[in-house]
Amino acid sequence: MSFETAMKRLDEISVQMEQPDITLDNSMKCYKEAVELIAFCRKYIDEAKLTVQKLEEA
Amino acid sequence: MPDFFTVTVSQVTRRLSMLVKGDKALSDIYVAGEISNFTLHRASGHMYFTLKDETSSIKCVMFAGKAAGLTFMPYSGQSVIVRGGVNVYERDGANQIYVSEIIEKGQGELALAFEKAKRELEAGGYFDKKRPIPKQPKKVCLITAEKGAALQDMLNIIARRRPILEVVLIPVTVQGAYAPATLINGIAAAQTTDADLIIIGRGGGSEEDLSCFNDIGYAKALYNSEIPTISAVGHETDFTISDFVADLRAPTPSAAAEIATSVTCDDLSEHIELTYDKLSDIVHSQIEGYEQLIDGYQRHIAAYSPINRLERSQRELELLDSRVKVAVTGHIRSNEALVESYTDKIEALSPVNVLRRGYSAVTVNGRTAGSINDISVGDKAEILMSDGIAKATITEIEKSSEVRFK
Repeated sequence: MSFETAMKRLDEISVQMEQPDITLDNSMKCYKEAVELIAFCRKYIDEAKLTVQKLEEA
Repeated sequence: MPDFFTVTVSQVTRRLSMLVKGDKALSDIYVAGEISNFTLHRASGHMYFTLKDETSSIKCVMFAGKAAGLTFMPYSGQSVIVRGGVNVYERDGANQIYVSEIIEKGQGELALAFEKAKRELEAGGYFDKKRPIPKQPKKVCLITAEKGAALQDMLNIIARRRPILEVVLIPVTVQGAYAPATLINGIAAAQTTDADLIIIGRGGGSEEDLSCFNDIGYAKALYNSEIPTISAVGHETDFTISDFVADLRAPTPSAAAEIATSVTCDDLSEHIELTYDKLSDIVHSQIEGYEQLIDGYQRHIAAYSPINRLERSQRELELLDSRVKVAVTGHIRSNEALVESYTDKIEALSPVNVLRRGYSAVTVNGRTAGSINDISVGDKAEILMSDGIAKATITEIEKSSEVRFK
């Protein structure tokens, strides 16, 4: 999955979770996916930062 | 006065003047001859003289404006080539050359050859191809003498200003009879390299020394170069055909090297530094932007997290649970109290306590005898006491209406 795809999916999930009539079951599923996506995106960004830092030091 | 058609002197000279002016062959010519009767008019600066050869002479005037361009002072008896246009000086009715240039004989031969070549090439369009010189050439061909100062000058400048510029040396002879041929071969050789610029360079020298750069064959080869050319021949004041044909003329070989290195390595470093800073800023702000975006998503998702719903449900569940517990406990307690009160009541009613107080129950034949009429003498009776049973035989019966306790 690309970083952009993940960010886009996060946006979709946010909208989905805002729906007042979402079932608890769906909310749980969304939440689980969102947490995984956030972790993925953070890791991606952290790695990108590290790469940039290393390149700058080089 | 005889009656025939006459014209005035003015009309004759004017007509002559018109005819001469109309003759293109006389408008700009080179005339060889010897100067005589040379006069410099001190006040105006105009020069007047007669140009003559063995059989003929013609008056010449060189006005101060043109005379100022001379690098020598003409004198009577000097052999020269005069350039100018022929016209009629109407006042005297005399032909006169209006001189634009005087070339000393000797140098005159070369100059004439130069002018001839220049005119021919100019007419052929050889001076009209001016391609742009690459700002940042990758490889330059130096067509010059291997041992010349020009080469050293150019190499020094390139090394100092733009050491990344690759240099190919094509050694040629830049003076003498063989020079044009080696120059032509040099240009041909340069075409087989992947250079994107050619510099033809030579240091200063006499007009004669530089004359190979006026060669028509060389000029045409230069013109046909696929690669842009810079001509850098002699000093700043020297002009050769090569300079006119090349895409660019540089006053000296050093100047040519500077043009080829107009973007120096220092410029490049600075540009790289700036670009790096710009890129770095972009990358950092992009990362920061994404981080904020992710933070935002995280807060948003946390706000809509099912944990809130789960906690609310859990609280409701606990409330229900405690209500159920309270209800059950209350119910049990009230029943317990009831049971206890019944126990007390039942205990209070128990016959055992009556027996303890000294009363006994008598049963005969398994039946409780509450009246004297229930028993007879000789009956086997059982006397029930609080802590046991006594067996007895009825020996006597005494009836009374009422039992009195003593």
